[in-house]
Amino acid sequence: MIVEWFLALVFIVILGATMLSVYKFIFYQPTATSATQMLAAYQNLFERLEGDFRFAVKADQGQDTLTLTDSRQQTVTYSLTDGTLSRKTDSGNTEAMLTSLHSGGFNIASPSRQLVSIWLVPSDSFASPFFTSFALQGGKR
Amino acid sequence: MSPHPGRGTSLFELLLIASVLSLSLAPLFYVIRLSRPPEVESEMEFTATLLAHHVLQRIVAQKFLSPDSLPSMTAEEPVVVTPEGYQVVSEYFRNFLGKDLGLEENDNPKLYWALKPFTCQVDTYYLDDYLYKVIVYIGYEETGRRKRVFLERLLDHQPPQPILEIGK
Repeated sequence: MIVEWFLALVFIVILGATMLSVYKFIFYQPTATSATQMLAAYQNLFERLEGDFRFAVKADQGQDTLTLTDSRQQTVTYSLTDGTLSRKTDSGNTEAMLTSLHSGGFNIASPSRQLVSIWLVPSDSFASPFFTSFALQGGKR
Repeated sequence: MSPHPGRGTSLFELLLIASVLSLSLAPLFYVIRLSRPPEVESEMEFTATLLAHHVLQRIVAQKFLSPDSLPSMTAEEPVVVTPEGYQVVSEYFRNFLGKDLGLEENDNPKLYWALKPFTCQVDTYYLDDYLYKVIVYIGYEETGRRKRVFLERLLDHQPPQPILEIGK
């Protein structure tokens, strides 16, 4: 009798552990780390840049700034100041896209001036830099 | 002897069967997990995606300038200058941030070492109706395994128009 109750207890524990594993499997959420937060910030920046370049017809590079102009002469300016990359629109909205940057810059490929490269290096030496390029699409796909 | 031998035995057997069945779920969930893509993108994978995007956008910009051009196919090549110098930098990473022959360590050490593990390969296929498909592969090694990220894009390419002779 005692053995049977013991075995029943063991089986209940096995069932409980299985149910817990199934619950964790279905509702698993990866824990946010500095790496995942950085990737999320990079992803957000990439989507903003992609949206802005889709309608840009002209790109102008200043010292630590990049200004994109669309066909309606509306501008978006990205600027690197004190380790922060900001995005400013004509309406005056300024948004800090990335912080804690070691260095970065913009490069417009000459002579075509149709391709703009963006590189950003975080101050955390273990974090991956951001580098990619966008073509001026002027509303075309 | 148990006062309720019938009920006690059936409950015990029920628990036994349920626990054995639940244990049999373990390999099933393991297979499902293996077949799923990883929930969290690694930093290497994200950087590789950005590099592939760079190459595609460079092709788009080139196509805008000269619509008759097609991207050249390349073998797997490094994206920055290698110290040994026997491997040519991928042509899609030359003229990189103003460096004609590709990025060198002295130009930007942090960016250089971050991009050094990656390679680039470009394939172009003719589909139909003057449509081409360009596929950009960015390769890298992570946790001892060789991995590749690829992005693809369709390009239209009209054949060159015949030159009409004047007076005919």
